[in-house]
Amino acid sequence: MVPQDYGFFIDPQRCIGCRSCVGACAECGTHRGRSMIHLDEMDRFDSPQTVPTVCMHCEDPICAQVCPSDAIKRSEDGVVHAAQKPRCIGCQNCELSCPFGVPIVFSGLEQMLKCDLCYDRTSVGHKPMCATVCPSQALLFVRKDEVANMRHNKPLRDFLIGSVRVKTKNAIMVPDPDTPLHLDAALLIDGGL
Amino acid sequence: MSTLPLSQDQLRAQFGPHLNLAPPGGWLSDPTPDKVVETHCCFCGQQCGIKLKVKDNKVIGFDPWEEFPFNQGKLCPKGVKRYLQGNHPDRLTKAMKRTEHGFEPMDWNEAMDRTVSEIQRIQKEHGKDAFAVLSGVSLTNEKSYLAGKFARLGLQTKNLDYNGRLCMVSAGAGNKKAFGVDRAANSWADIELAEVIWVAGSNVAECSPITTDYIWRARDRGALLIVVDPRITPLARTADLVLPLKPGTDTALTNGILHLLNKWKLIDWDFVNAHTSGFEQAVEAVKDCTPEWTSQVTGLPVEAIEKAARIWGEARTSFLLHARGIEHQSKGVENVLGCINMVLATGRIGRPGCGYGTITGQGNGQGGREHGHKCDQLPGNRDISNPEHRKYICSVWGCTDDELPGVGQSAQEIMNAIHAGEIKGLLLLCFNPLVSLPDSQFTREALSKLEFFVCLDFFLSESAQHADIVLPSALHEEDEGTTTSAEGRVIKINKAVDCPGDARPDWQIMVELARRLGRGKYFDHFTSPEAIFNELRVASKGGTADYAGITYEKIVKNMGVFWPCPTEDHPGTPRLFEGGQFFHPDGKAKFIPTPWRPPMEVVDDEYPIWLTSGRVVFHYLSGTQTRRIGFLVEQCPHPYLEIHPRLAEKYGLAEGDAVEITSRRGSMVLPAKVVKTIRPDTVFIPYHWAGALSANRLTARHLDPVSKIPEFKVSAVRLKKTTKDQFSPELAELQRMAFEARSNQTDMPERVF
Amino acid sequence: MSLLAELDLEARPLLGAALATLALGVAVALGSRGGRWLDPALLGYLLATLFACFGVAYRYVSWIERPATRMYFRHTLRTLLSPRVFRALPKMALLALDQILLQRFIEKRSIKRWGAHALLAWGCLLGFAVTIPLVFGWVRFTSEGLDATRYQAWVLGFPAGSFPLDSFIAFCSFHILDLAAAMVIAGCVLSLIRRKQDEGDTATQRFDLDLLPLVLLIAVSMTGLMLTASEKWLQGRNFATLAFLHELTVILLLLGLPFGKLFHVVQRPAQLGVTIYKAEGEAEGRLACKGCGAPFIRANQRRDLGELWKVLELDGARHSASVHHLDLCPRCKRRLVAKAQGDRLHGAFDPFATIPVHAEPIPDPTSLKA
Repeated sequence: MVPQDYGFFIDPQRCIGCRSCVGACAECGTHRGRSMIHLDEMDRFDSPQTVPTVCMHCEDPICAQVCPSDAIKRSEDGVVHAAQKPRCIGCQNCELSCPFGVPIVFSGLEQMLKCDLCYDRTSVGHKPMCATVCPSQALLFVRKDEVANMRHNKPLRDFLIGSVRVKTKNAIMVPDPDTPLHLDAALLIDGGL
Repeated sequence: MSTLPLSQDQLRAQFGPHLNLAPPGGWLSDPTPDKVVETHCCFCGQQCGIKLKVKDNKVIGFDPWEEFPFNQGKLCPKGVKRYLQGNHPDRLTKAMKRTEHGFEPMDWNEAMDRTVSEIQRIQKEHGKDAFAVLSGVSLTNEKSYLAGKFARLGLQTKNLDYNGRLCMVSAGAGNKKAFGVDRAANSWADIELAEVIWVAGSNVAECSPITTDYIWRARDRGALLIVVDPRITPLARTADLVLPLKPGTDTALTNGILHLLNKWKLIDWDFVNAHTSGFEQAVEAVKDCTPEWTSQVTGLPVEAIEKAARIWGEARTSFLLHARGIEHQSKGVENVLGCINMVLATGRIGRPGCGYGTITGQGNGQGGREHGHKCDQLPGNRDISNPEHRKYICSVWGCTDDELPGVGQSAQEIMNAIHAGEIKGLLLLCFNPLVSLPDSQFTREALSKLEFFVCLDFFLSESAQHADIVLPSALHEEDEGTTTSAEGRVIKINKAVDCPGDARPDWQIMVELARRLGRGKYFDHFTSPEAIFNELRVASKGGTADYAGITYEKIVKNMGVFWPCPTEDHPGTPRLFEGGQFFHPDGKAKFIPTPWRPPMEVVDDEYPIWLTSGRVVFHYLSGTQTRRIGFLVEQCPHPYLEIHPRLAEKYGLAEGDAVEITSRRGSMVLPAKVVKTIRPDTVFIPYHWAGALSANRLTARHLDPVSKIPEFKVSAVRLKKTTKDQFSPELAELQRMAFEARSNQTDMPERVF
Repeated sequence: MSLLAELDLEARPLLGAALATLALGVAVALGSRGGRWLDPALLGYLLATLFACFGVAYRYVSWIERPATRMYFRHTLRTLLSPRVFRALPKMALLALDQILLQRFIEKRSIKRWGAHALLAWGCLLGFAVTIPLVFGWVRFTSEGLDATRYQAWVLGFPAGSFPLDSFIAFCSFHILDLAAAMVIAGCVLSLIRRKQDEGDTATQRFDLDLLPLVLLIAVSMTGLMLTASEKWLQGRNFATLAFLHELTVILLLLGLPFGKLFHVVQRPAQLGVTIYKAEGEAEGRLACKGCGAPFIRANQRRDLGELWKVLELDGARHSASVHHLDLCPRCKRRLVAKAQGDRLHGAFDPFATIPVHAEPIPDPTSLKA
């Protein structure tokens, strides 16, 4: 069980693009050489901003809903696990449907792997590998009651895509957490849609 | 004599760089370690704590060391993958000699005999000082101390210097002038208490990544961040105020700020009067540095300069950090003094949340420079030309004053003297001058002129390829000792595994050479790193960098001890200058005027563009280690030219196009990386590579008159668009290696996105 | 079909399971010549097998009734019922060789896992291949008349040759189950060792889902081997007890089949359908991401996921009339989160807007170069 008084708090603004998380993800005993965290450049031409993405661990994960082999399970502690190895058939439904772009299908393996919060570490009281090493602490894993003292911004676990509401276990740091974060593609496209 | 014995391709096939991609036995081998060793990362001056997992005398992985107070488990990608430098196919395990057919393994004794007889021949024919030692500060304090003693008493040469000369000597010299001591004034804990953080010439996010979190912790408490840099670095992107000045105009900015502080009466007069001297002269020197003048020189808008002065002047607490950006200049020391003047004028030093420091770059840049492998220093930060200091060290070493040489030449000057034929022999350890010194074509010519060149290294670095004898030395994890971090925290490096083959720790090699040179009486008692450290403690006693009260046991127990620590019951000194007490005899800090002067090379019609160079987060210094680690090479396989789209457009350059960059020293062809995050009059190249890809083909051998640091950060170049077939074979090779590293992992996802 | 469609979701699996069990019952009745050839000692096994058949079929039908599964199931059915089948079949045969027989994808996951799994899987299948025909009465051995030295084999009630008791073929017939048992035990033990060494598996495994099947398989195989040992070396001592234990463990295993991990055996062939589906999508082409313009999603999958999202009541995930969340590639979805978060903080800035392309030489009031 991952302790329920701990939370994962993500602040992409702090990310420095060093890819420590990418390297360290592969080092955890669950992952063994396969990194499951994403580190994207926002648009290097414009800015050095980079975006770290771990699984948000949705309350009602869409990846599990679209999985034809019923291979994606959420444990009682709220962690959405990588596809069960005997079941996953590598169809990529999860990869294409995840609202946050998290799962990765390793094609040769016919298997989806994704961030599982380094279950081997978090289930015995350690932090996930990425949040342990993250130099800027853009990825922060601490007790939930500590965050208010540590951070200016506040955790948000509520997202809106069109009219679809997605609630998550992991949090994004914003100044105004009471309004859901509206993920609107117009933000990505110059001049809007 | 010392030209390459084989072609570059043949050397590369034999000695690499090859890539280490996975832990010993592969990713799926049993990861249960025999033991876990608490030690530190070998890359960079922050010296993050890390735990190495060891199985069958091999390092098989790492665990974050969350209890270590500085980094609390945090690591940059170099730290995460540092363990892959061990168990490496390129690792040197036998002594080697160069022959017509390349490097051939040889018996250890024979290598030692040959080395000693060549040293003796050269010193007999050309004098003691014709044999030089160039050392490095990735070495522990013990090895650094020993390198100094070995050169001076073992080889009896004055010509000893180190690659810290390319790092933070400008900061050291500036700090000594202003404060009488050379150390960051505070532990990093004071950063998060500051209201304003001023970062000058430091790409904190990439060169000292762990410091990023300290700065953000302050910002979470409301601190403002000001970043001075010609590029928008990842940290600058989010800063409250960015001052992207023209390369080489740093004193113009600090003078302009001091001018405004004085004009707006934002001076802490109580502090200035009680604890400093020379304020009037400093203010007098900046009386013409109006915002308009500053703007004209630096290229910054007047409003930005005024805003910066306002924020800095009105703050109650602050921390000023600087690094190579301002130090790697022919005015490095002046730039540092300009920053210190800003700090002293506001009196914000020596109190909680009030601090100043250089972010030392090299692994043991701080400790290494204190204990005497710098050409003008003796242990304890003592001065080799000060009779009192000499007398004390002679008493510790048991030698006479005649036996102790005087001031030698600095690193670049030694290379110049080799080129001029004045120095005939060289012992090189922990240093890859062919990559890290400026004007690398010149360095290559110099190395090929040596009569005898012996090199201690664990991989065959590009410089070592020119050596006559190569002796395999120890990796960081194969020996114990201490280092001193950027904060001034002395920490313990622990041994995780034994050296492979004939390789052995550098200190053992130096002791053996000294013995064979007939100088054993000064070195015979060094039977362990701790024995060396205990002599270092005595030698540093009473100096400014006083380690007398630091023991191995105490370091381990307290997770590091800040010097000065004069007695064993002394807790160490995380914060210097408390109560305004400085290290000059009068107890005061000195304002030193820094009248503006331009860099040694300025742009003109022929070379119209500024060039600056620096690091990327994935590589360390000359890349001897990091260019051999698969993950790091995959992320950043080769150098590139960072260029603003407006400048790129002028030359018709698009992303990835080949561009020829030419300076008065040489030229190179690199792919263009078109980004809006650099001044449109300036281009940037990362410097970690060798040969055709070495940024230092372009840089000049202009030195700071005081610190003798080369001006890496300011050169003038011209650009020309060329075709991709002009890329060097090395670049293609690196691209191939990175591609292979990626595709070797056959199970990798089909990343169409 | 229309009758089927009117049934509610629970009824359909029930019907499917009943039909499957009935079909199996009929097959057993026919194959055993109306039960004449059934071995009374194996009746317990037969009942458990029929139950397992019911359970597996029930779960299989409810599984393919899931909207996501139906998407692929329908596609595969359509392929099989169309002329395309002639192109797809050879390909499916090759895929079956690679994925089902050789299980190469497991080898890529880890060679240790593959070795253990191959032993386990082929041991189990071999065991069932021998025992199921015996249990169903499809195959039986009797003494050939009064000749106690020869055995007569019967298949579906017809005589199918005889062989001497001391022949090699007899030895193989009697010991093929011992071989299967040895393979299963080796596979299970290797799996347990591998699991113990893998921190990830150790952390995520559950006793009931991951370890119990291995323990049961070991128990089945051990008791089976002990039966042979009892008969061979211990003059049949404890044979009855062991036979009871063996029967008990096998029945437990069969009863657990529909619920536990072993159900993946009937799920796995879906992988073939998915591979064909992907190939067809590839031929149709990939659609461009509406965020960055890079092609990413196969056209057929975009269509089917669109339908699926409607069924799952996710169709509201639209950014405008023309951009569905499924039209963004995963990378753009990731960037979008940071973009949205950044927008709540502050806007972009360009400090270089006013800087000229080339620097004029720095003014030089106190030059040292002069």
